[in-house]
Amino acid sequence: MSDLESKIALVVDDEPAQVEFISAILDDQKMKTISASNGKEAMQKTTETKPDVIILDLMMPEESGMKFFNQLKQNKDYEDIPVIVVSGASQKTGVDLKSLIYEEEFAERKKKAFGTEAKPDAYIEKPVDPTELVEIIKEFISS
Amino acid sequence: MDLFPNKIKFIKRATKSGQASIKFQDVLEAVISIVLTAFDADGCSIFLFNSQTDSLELAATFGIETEEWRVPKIAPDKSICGSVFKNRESVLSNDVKNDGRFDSAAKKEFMFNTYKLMAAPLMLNKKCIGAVEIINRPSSQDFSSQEMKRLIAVSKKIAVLVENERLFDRCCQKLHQRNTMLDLAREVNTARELPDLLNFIVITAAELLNSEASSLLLRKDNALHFEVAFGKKGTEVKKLTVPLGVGIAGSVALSGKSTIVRKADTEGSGIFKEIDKKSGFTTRNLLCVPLRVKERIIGVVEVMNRRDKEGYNEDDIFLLEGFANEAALAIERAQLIEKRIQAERLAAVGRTVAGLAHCIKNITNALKGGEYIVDKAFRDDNPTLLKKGWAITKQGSERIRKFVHDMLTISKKREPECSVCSPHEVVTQVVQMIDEKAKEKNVKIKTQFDEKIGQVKIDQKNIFRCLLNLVSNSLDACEENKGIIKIETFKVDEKPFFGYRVIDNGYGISKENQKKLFHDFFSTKGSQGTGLGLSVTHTIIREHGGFIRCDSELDKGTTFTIELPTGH
Repeated sequence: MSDLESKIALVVDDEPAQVEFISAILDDQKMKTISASNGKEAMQKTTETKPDVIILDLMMPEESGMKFFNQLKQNKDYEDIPVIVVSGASQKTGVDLKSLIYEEEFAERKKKAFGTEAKPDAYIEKPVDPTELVEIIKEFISS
Repeated sequence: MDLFPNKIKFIKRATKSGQASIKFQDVLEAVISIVLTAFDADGCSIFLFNSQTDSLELAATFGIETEEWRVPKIAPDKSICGSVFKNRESVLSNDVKNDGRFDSAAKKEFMFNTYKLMAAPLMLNKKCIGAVEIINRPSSQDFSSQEMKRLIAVSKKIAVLVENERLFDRCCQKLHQRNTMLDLAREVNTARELPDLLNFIVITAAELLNSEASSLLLRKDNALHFEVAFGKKGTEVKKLTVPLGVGIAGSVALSGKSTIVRKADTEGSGIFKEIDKKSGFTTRNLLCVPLRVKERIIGVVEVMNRRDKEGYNEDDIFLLEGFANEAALAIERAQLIEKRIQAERLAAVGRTVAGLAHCIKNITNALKGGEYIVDKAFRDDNPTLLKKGWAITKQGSERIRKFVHDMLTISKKREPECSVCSPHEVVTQVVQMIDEKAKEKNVKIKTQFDEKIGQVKIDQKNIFRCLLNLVSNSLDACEENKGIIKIETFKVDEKPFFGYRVIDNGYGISKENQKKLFHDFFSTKGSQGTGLGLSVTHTIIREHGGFIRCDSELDKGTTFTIELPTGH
């Protein structure tokens, strides 16, 4: 199945090994990958080439992941790009990311953390399960 | 007639408790000297009734030079003073030896050199509190009935005086006790660990009650366990358990009622003999009070073998109970604090395990990526991809090895393996190691050496690790193209120490994070950081007997300063 063929994914992660990993998974689906190692670079690349999906690691220095997410969602041109958030640990950030993202009670905190009430479209935890990732992407791109 | 106080001999104290004030004695002495002068007599004695021992005791005397004369107690019916006291009637005799009223045996024993005497009861309202007696006179003149009347009048005044002094004395004592209790309460409640506290309690109890020995037993389930003992063979006694209800301690623990045992060697005294056998200590008399916290009895305190008296009395119960109340509260508090510390330790262990698991999880995530890529490389028959995948996998392995090494470094206490070298050598090695990475980011590295240091004795490998860690951190913190890292060595004045400084102009560390800097697993580097680097550095520096310090300002830069002993 190659309905993902030639689609472009932006992988934002400060760990090169992680980027290679996801690229390999996407390459098996014949997708193209562009990457960024911080939020600033991610915004640059998004402007250059509007990706079909963004795979975003939130565990990066200076919260650049979250900052990038805010900028994205506040921009009319890019707010509709599906964002899949990858999370390494909720412990480090001191916040249970999953509940923060999906549970309603945390609206205030969410706004503070993300700067916006917008939610990522999907959430997966490291280590990334290749099958799961592909399924999620298919969900967002084919629709 | 010599009236100086130092000629006066005292045989018995007047007051009930063992801590009579000297002042009372002085008063009695003064009274006696006045009486002697007034009545022109050789000797004068004042007897006071001791309700505790139920006997008439000699309180003060002057003029009778008898070293051999021991009058511990006079049973009321066995002497002149005794009968004077019992019958509340005064007596006058100018020829004691031949006076039929007096018991001959008593005469022999107590009064062999008394030939004239006058004695009057000390009456206080309707109560008789003792007797005063005047004997002999230098002249041959007999005692007259006129003088008898005067003595009776004087005796009333003496009685009032004695009573006043006793009341005053008792007040002073109570006050002193109260002050002692307050001091003790304060002492007992200074933060102490449980074993120290228990020791303090037994030693203080023994001192307070002037006793040879003391013990403290705490309740555990249905038995009392000897926690500490003073004056007894501590280790032997510690193994002993007293079931509730058995022995004095066991009964007091059950009933909550303080108990005195006057003669421990008699049958039915209730003493649990086992303890004496094991401790090699013989209990003669004992006082046991409960340790009570609100409604619960948590144990007992015992004191044994009163030093200055034949046993314990009501006052002693009051004193020890007061102290025991404070002690019980302090014990409970110490126990609660211990429980809390235990809980915190467990929580810390839990946190550490979680931290460990987290770090390892990060590394294995990377390994998974490597595996996938290697698999794909085989599928696609792509050697370049294979190289990449394999590199990632190897790196993951290396990371685990380093992580384990770091953990071992932190957890083991080792002596550093020192060798003599130049302190600058280590810096040069670090610069060589980090050079490529620095060039990639276009960050400048400068060094400045202080030649005055000379040779030093350090664990080169580990100091290299520390410096490398600090310089790597600085490199991470610096901005591309703008970063500058300075590594300096310096000599410390007036101490056999030298130091390293790693200075960067990177993004700095917030005051908040500065506090957590050396804590395990603290990292600002997301999934890349294990959070162990600075912990390891700190441990290594400490093992050397050195110090490490961080000064930093956000957006301005950071300086880490290490000071180490030169080793000579």
